[in-house]
Amino acid sequence: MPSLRPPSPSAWDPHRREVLRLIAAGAAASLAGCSKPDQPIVPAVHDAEGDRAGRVRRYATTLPLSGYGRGATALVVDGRPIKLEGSPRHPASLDSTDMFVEASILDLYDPQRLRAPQGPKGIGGWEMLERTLIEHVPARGGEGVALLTGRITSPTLLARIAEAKMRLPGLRHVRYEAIDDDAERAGAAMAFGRPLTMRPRLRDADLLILLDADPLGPGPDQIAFGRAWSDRRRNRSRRAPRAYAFEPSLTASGICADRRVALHPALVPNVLLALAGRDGGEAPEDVTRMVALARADLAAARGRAIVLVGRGQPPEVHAFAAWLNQSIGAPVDWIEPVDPDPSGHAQSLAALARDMHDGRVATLIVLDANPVYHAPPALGFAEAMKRAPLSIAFAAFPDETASAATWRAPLTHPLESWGDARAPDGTASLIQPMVKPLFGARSPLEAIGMIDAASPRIDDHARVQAQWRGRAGGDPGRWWRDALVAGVIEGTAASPVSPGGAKPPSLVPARPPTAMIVTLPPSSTMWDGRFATNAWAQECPDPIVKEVWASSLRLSAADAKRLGVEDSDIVRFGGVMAPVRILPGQAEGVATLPLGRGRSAGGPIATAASADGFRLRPASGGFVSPPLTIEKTDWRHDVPTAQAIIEAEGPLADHFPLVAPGKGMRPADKLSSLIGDDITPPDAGPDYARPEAPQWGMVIDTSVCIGCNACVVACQAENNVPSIGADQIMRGRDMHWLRVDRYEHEGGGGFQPVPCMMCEKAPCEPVCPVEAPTHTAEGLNLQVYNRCIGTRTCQANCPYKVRRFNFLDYSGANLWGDLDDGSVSAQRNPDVTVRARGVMEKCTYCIQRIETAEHDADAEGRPLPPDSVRTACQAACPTRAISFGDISDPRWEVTNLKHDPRHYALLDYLGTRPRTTYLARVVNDGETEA
Amino acid sequence: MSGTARWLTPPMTDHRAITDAVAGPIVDRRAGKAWWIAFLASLAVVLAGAAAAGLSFEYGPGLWGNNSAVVWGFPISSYVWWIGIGNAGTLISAMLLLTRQKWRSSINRFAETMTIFAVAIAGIYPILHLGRPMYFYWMAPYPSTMHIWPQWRSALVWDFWSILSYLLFSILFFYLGLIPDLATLRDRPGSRRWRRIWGAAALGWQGTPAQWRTHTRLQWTMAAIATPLVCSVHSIVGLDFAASIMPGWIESIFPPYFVVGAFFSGFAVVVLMAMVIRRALDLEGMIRPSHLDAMAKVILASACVMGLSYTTEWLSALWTGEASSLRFLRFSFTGPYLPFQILMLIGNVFLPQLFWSPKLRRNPIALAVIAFGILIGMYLERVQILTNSLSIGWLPAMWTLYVPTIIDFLILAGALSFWVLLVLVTARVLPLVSIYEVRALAEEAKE
Amino acid sequence: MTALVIASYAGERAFRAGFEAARQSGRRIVGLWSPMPVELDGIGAAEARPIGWIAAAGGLILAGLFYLFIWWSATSLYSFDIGGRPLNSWQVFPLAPVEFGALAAGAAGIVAFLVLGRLTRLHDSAFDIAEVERASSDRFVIAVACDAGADANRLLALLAEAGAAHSRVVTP
Repeated sequence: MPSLRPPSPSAWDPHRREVLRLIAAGAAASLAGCSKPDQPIVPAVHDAEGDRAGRVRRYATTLPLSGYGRGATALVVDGRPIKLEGSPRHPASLDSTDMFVEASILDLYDPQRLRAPQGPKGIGGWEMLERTLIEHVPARGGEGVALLTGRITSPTLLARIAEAKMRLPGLRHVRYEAIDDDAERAGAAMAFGRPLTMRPRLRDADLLILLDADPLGPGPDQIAFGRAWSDRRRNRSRRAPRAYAFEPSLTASGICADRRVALHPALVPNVLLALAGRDGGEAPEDVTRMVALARADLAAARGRAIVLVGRGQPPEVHAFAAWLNQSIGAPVDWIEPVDPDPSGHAQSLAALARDMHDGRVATLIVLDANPVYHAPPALGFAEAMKRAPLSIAFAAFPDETASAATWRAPLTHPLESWGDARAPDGTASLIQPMVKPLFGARSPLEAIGMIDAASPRIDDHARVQAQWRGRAGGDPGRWWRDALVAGVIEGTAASPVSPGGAKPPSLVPARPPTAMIVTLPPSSTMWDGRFATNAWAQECPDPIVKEVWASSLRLSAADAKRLGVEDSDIVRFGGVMAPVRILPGQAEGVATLPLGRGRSAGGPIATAASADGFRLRPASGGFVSPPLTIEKTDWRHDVPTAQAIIEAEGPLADHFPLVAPGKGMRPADKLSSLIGDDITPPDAGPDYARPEAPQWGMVIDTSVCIGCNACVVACQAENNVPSIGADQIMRGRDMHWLRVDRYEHEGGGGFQPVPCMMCEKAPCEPVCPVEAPTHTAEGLNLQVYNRCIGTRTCQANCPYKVRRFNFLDYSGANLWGDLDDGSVSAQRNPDVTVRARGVMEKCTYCIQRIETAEHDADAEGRPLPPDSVRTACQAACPTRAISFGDISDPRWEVTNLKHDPRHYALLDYLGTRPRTTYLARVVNDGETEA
Repeated sequence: MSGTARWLTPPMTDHRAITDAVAGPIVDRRAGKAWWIAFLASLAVVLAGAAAAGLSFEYGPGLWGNNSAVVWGFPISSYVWWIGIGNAGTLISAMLLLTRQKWRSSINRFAETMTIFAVAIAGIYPILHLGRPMYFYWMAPYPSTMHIWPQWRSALVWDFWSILSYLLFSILFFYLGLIPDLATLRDRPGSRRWRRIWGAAALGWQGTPAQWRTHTRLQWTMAAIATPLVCSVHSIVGLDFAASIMPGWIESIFPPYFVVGAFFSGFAVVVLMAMVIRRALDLEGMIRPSHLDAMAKVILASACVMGLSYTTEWLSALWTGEASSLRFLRFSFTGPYLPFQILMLIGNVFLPQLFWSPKLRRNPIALAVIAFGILIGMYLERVQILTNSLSIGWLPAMWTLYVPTIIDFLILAGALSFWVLLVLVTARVLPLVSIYEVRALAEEAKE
Repeated sequence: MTALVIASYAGERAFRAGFEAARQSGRRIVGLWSPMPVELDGIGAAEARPIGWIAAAGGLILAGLFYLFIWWSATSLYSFDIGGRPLNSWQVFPLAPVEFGALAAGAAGIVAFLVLGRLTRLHDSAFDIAEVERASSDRFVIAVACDAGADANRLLALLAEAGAAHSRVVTP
């Protein structure tokens, strides 16, 4: 199906594009006035300007990921939500976002979304679906009816289901989440006799030992953990923290750790035992050495050390870790599970599949879940569904399950419906709709209402309100408004329980297995595959290998040699095929394939060709494939990569210096040259420190950057940066204004976000014949789009290569094949020009935000208060690695950072005098000196 | 028997014979089969190239091999290459005039002809290369509604002016030399219409002593201007790269090194044309082995200079030991572009060394082959100047290779054929050898 | 009443001889035409001399004006902060003017040539003389005024023995 592939120049057939443009225009017109929801919604910030046209209003709301809520603030212009930012008071957001929150805004307008209920006889209205449900469900009190959902933490929705169950006692609710926490729960149950959830207090940890664990990696906790970790790193008042990582494949946490060693996941028990001072059995020599170091530190850091075990490890390992943490008095809390469903994800799905095979399920209703794609192949879920006479999928996208079901019905985006959700720490927050459902979709609550048709008709708003009425004090209306403004409901966080004494399970050392296995971590950009429909997520580079639109199989150099394969060679394993990528830091005997790609349905974006890790999942669930053999095939295929990874040795290492705790940068090395050894970097440029105008600058702390890509996608959403498709990426093009370079030193590398450097002596400016790039009095290096004729000289002469060129009409192109992409234009930021073909563009420090702030200040006749301007990337950053502001004003945070001893400028010896500068990464491995 | 004799052989010593030999084929218009084949063949390729260019205008540079790091591709290397060729014609005829090279008379005319076409084609590339070609005129200073003027610090603006000036200047120079011959054509029996056209173009030339004196004087003056102008033009092209901060570009050697390269490739084209013309218009009597020998020597000399400039570049990189220069050097000799680097060195430096043998110097085939090799070598050099630097800039994260697309090649082929087409047509309407100068030569030969 | 003797020669040497003969005979030489540059002592030197100076002047003047314009537009007309470079980056401003100046010089020279060489006269009386037609291909032609009759025949003989390929008397 050619139309299901990202555009290639061959597909640029003028006629077709014209037609699509017309359709899009029509759709855009129809979408122009997104209408407000019926019930009153309350902006987070009171705005005297009211609803003035083009004015950004901010509303607190919540976005679920795998059922857990992350607070967010929706930026709404003329009734159109155009951007999502963090929610200050929400514990899982802390005023910042992750890549998934940022990408979610595109989902709202995604052309691939389902638009109307569709039954066996094609498009049918909601009424027809309601009738079908009434025919099948109430009979025999819901006997034989199974409701399959993802994880639900929403009190209102849970209550609603419970209510439905009262009327339909036979109704069976099954909860399945692809990225499950079965092992953690079972482990806790082993250790304490009841399922508990561990909440590590990373903020208090001097020592962090990660065993196949990736707390800084993707997931509902990434923001909270990342912030706590970075706060601890910044805290100079206590001894420098240290983190060990023992992991099969390179992860964000592994890169950020001070000491890392590759470890086969099967050997984690051995390391754990050795740490506990028991017989750890055998382990590779480098691991043993690392363990010895870790033990020493552990002994020194009792009460301030945490041992974390990954979700891929078996329950007994989790149990043992729980015991170990307790015995070393680790700063961790135990809370009652936020997800009240006691059953295990894997078993309950397996049981359901069995019953479906046996024909014991007459009606299957899938609500916001995608079992056909997620279920282990052994369960044969798709076939099982065929056995059920009636299957209905409520889904936002035409995913695998929706395609297999007899009925598919469009589900709302969180920004289209009322609701609530709990954060991983239990904090409840409200979901506030910003627009009426764009494509006539219905919310989960309404879906349950259709199943439980006999129930009184109460709209979602009223239900959610009723759910929380109990907490409202004197004036419910006022309490409700405050709750909407705050975005969170105070005092709902789960309080730690005392788990009682853990008993150590019998954990035996393992021997390294001989057969290859494949670890299946959730993807940093696709999560469990639900973001595969999202063009921004697809084009967001994987933090580790920088792949976009597809994933390769990560192999250690040794295994690759043994198998006789090189990069891009396609290999076959367990019925799946994928190209190989040799990844330094990969454990021997382990391959790694991130989950979430290789979707077979969901729309042209979702089905971008790639390997599907879920095919390797054993029936028992988990994140490790059964032992398998990897065979070389004769085919080769390059996976599109947005940029290169930098093996920094020699002079390149200067781009990403590492310093020991408390140390600063070395004095700049003299440049030696033909005419002598004493060439100091040229500067003596113009001095921009003018009193009348603020001088914008940025400092990025590479020491706390976890490479999460939140900034990358935030920039894309804020600045109308188009996705351009795999084919264009393959041709070495890329439109992201902000990229995250990854450096690999043998002493551990790190991440370095690279926006425009805003050089004071910009090399790009003097080479342009038409003055398209010019400098402002505020020290901004700006690109005047309508002046640009596209000579590309500026980019040719940019040492940082941060300029991006519209080689084709990327903004006008339709990535969604033949689908009408008119809706997408509704997301565009009205304050940012949409760039035409043939024009150079680049980071502007979000000048639209600067201007807005300055205008507001002028309107109120006051100077800009410190830290009153935040760029999109800065606002997104979970670890606050990016700081921005007026570097001529000491009251701004960024100004002080400019004087930090770790401060350095990239390629400073070129004399470009960048305004964007960095703080060197601190590595506390006891070796790095600087 | 003076030295001039060896530049001409009987019957080319008689004025009438000379005139007939050169003007004959033009005035009594008969085009041979070969001409038509060449014409139609090149026309076909031109159309293909035009289609490719049309697509590029419609959809943008995205159809080419350019990427985020190597933002410049074939259009720019072609531009530099063509300008180089374009430089030679005028440089040759001007320098040979100033140095009183008698043999000049038989080659200067078509050297100038091909110059003008080459420069004209080169002039098209910077426009084609733009992301928004329809606005190319924004480079010119004119009171625009945007109230802005060109950015005079940009090497591209310098380019704009040097190319424009050079093109127009070459046309003037060419036309000046043409006037007496146009008069010749005007006065020969032949089709009335064409004689009217030539007559108008000849501006009423009579050939009185006063006219000859002013004519000669102006030719010398313009030759004296042309020589430095040509050098400056390609120096400025060199500045496009040298006036940057990219490793491999920021080289003070670039301007002179570009000029040599230009003269080199241009001269190769002249040789190639000479070989073709003397066969096609059977002018063996005017383009003698001694011509071949002289031109071969020039090529040999410039090949050595090329080699010298290459080694200078490499040595200075090694000498400074500056990290980025070393990386650049390592990349050029170990990187994926190595085969092209080798081809370039063969074509530009090693192949011409064959001319140490006098026999080969006088062998038309050898001359043609080596000239061709030089043209390929020079094009590869122009391409690598772009790709080698831009593929490995300062930040490794953006290191990307350059792979041209079919569109790139179509445009390249189209431009080459367009040039051939122009020369073919010109050969039918204008004398490709300067008749009056050959007459003068013949007179000397009589002494 | 006067007549005109027109003689055409096949080569330069004969042509010079004819010219000498005509001059020594003290008669007025009406016209000289040659298919190639032939310098007959002083003739035409006056016209040729100024060419170089005119070209130089034209080039210098226009280059100067161009430089002034650049300086003006870059510093005051619409002045940008371009990469922190000084507004008056005089080091690079001369490049375009130099190029343009060369063109201007050439153009000035051409104009001077047209005027001084008395060109662009497509219909000159000289073209009525049949011999002049061949002066552009293979004949060196000289026209001398004399009295009709015996004098003309004497001159005719004079030019003929100088080696004229063909000569005749034209009487009105």
